Amino acid sequence: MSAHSQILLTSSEGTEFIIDRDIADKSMLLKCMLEDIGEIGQAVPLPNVSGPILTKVIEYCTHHRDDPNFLSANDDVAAEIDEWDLEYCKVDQGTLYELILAANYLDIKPLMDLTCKTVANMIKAKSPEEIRKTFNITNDFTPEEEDQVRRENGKGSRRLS
Amino acid sequence: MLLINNDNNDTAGELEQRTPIERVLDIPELWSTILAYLHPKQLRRLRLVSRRLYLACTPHIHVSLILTSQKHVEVAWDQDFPSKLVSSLRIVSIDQFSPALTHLLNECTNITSLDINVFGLDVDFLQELLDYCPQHLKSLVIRSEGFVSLESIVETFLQSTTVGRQIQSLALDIGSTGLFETDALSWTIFRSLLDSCTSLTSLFLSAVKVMDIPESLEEINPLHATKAMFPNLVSLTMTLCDISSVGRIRLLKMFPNLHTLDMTCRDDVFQADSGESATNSVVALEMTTQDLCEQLTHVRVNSRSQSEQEGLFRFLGHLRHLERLELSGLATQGARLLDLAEEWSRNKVSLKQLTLSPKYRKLTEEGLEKVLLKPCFSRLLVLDAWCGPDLILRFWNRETQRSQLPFLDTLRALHLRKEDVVSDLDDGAMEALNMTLKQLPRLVDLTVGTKLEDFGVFQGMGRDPEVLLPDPRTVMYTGPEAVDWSDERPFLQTLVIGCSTEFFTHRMGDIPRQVGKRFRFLEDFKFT
Repeated sequence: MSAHSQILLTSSEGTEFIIDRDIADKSMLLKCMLEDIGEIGQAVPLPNVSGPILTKVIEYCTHHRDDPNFLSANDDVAAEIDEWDLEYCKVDQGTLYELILAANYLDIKPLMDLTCKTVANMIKAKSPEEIRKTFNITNDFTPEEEDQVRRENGKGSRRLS
Repeated sequence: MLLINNDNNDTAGELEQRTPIERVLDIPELWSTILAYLHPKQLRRLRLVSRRLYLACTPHIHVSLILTSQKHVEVAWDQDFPSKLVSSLRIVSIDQFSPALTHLLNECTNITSLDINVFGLDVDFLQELLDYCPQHLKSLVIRSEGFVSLESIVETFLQSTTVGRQIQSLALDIGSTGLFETDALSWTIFRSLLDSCTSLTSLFLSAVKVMDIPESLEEINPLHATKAMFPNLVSLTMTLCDISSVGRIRLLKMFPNLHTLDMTCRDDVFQADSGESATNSVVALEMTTQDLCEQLTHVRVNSRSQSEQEGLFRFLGHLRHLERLELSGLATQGARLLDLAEEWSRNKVSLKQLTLSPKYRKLTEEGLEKVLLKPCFSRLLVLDAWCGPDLILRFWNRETQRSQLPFLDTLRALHLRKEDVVSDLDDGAMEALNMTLKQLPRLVDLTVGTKLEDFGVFQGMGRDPEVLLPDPRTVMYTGPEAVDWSDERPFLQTLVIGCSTEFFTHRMGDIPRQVGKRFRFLEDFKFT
């Protein structure tokens, strides 16, 4: 296998992407697939990832292609998000969730950690009502249920670890 | 506990119409990753958003319950108490069962961590507690003092085979009364304990006297010995344990994948050439530390020994994956540490933390300078030593006005613990410290044990306290790119300083301005 060989990917709507093998290897799904069946010269279909999202994923993997700490970079929960990564995640909410799903499907752990951390940052310091507005979630609790959750939270809060 | 069902009766068409956020919510692993970045308080708030989020967050909420008297156990009768959320239970001073305790243990079925801390622990009470232990128990701590012996505690524990099989972390801290030898643990029972705990990854033993280390063939002959007997165990702590060097090496040989070793030794347990092993060539062969615990990344040794500890340093020198080293109480010369640093550098070892305790007095600042210049320390994150600004001065280049510390770009914590007075320091030491601190962009934790007379060491660091912050009501926020905080580096989060009489008398009132305003991200401030 040549280190600079190229791989053809097809998004859900049929758009084709040619990427270098080392970039494809950032995805554990593609890496294992290519190691198992070899490069057969045909396009690898990715029915769960749309073209615009695949473009974003390739952009991320290309930026981090020479990063020696790629797989361990996001292990530290308290670590700050790198400036480039911060800019990368400045997308609309729909795109952000699509990126999480794509990172999960393609098994790109650093991208999944980054996007999940971004969602967590959107939740922090918000009240339940603000969270509902931000994520367009309907409150489907009955008043009794909501009261009971509040009481549960209150009983446990003094001992929460 | 609220009963909410996750009614997921959506049709295929509805599933396709789901928004991305709903699809993310459908995958528990993704939510787990997101929730891992949130604090318990934020998780509790999130539970109030909707039924779906309530269900998603509940497994991530953990309640620690501490029972210090029978009155606390009465919480069992409170209908609103979220017993299913209790994951950690600590029992202190309660030594008998009551209907409330029985009810509580029956209700709290998700306990993963149990900490028993009872003076004169009764083995029948322990047996009954272990019988009630839910299936999820992963961590067990047993602390007791009194007339109960360690062996009877271990034998009681061994009768609970279910607990033994699933336990991942075990801590035994059974103090001796001095009247009876309650701290003895025979090698046979110790081995039975390890054999029973097949999932054990972490073992903590305190004040244990390991007895009767056998000389049987399978125990001492490498050809007969089973290798990698307990590959799951990655962390071993032995505090003030009485174990011979033969026993210590034999013990460590059973844990080939050990990552963390923490030993507080009473005597020279790392000395392999003691009389007991020299007489037997088979034992001597086994005593080699060449391949002992090769996977260790974190070693902490506290010894009261005044000897040169050749065995310890030979052992440390063989570690290829070492990242964190903490030594205290040893009386070893700097030359020994220098040899060690050279060996690590040859073997491409890269340390992240070096801690040398205050008792490490034989190592001079000149000696430490030579050690720190070795390549194995070039990526150091934490330096903690009984030194002062004189050490930093040794690296200061007056011509270039740059520090020659090899780990300027990586250091996150600098602890200079020597409590010297400013007038005893070398000329320019405080100035060199001030200038060097400005050249440590990643520094967040700082200790300066020197008894400071003023705030001169912080001159020019952080935010200038003389410049007022703009009124937040009049400031126009134009995005993160408009803010440049880089000049304020280092962004200290913890600060510990020494305090002279002069400082105490005249400067204490300036702390809010000179420390609080200057270091805006400070979370903890203390005096030594």
